[in-house]
Amino acid sequence: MTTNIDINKCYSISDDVIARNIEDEIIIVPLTTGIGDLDDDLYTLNETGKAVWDLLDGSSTLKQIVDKLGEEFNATNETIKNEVIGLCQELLDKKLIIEIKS
Amino acid sequence: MKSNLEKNTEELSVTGECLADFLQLSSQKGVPFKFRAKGDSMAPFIKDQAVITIIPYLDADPDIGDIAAFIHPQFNTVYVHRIIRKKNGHYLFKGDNNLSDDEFIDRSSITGFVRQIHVFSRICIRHRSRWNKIIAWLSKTGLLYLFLKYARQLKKSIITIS
Repeated sequence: MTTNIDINKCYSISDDVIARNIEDEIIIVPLTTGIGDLDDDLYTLNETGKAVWDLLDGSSTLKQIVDKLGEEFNATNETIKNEVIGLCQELLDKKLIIEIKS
Repeated sequence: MKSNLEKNTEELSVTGECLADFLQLSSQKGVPFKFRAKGDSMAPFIKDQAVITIIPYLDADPDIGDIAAFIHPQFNTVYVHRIIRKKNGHYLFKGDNNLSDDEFIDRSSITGFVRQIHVFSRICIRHRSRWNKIIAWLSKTGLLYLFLKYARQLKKSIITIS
């Protein structure tokens, strides 16, 4: 069962993930299978994705993140909102982020 | 504005420092970490580009004979070599295919061990097997380096003749 992203909720990076900045990207290695595999199982986020990732601190709602990114990026609020929701849904489906229960 | 989450399908080459970070992070979480070895310092037991898995030591202590990963305190890069001596919480490492020792490394820089190695694609030497201690002794005395050197020359001669 897929959990849907809620823009009024907070999300943070899962403990079962290790990530590192390399130049303008983030390399993400999931540990969910019980082993970190640099040879096979990893993800990259581009510069825009990195901006979202860096704000997933568990204390800001996605709506607050959208507002913050609105100050940084030259795009409409609707576009940013769709991007953030789309990316976070992917991250949640892959168990790279978790929802913070209030 | 387009954010992309991509699954990496090509081999990713990371810097030594980046690998050291990942290894340390996974070790702190108690999770094994798999990556490709670079170089021939541990050949023929671990060859260049061989995939190795480092199992975190956690609370266990390293021992002589262990093939272990450590993060060099000066260069912040990962080395996977064999422990040939220990002294006062420090461990002396050496590549099986190297003539000279590395330096004594503090326990805090050692992250984990290699669970098993394969020789001639058939013989499996497991972690803490007595063979590892024998190989460590041969390495410490320099006999292993000489043996491997002459074995390679012999192999070359056999190939040339045939």
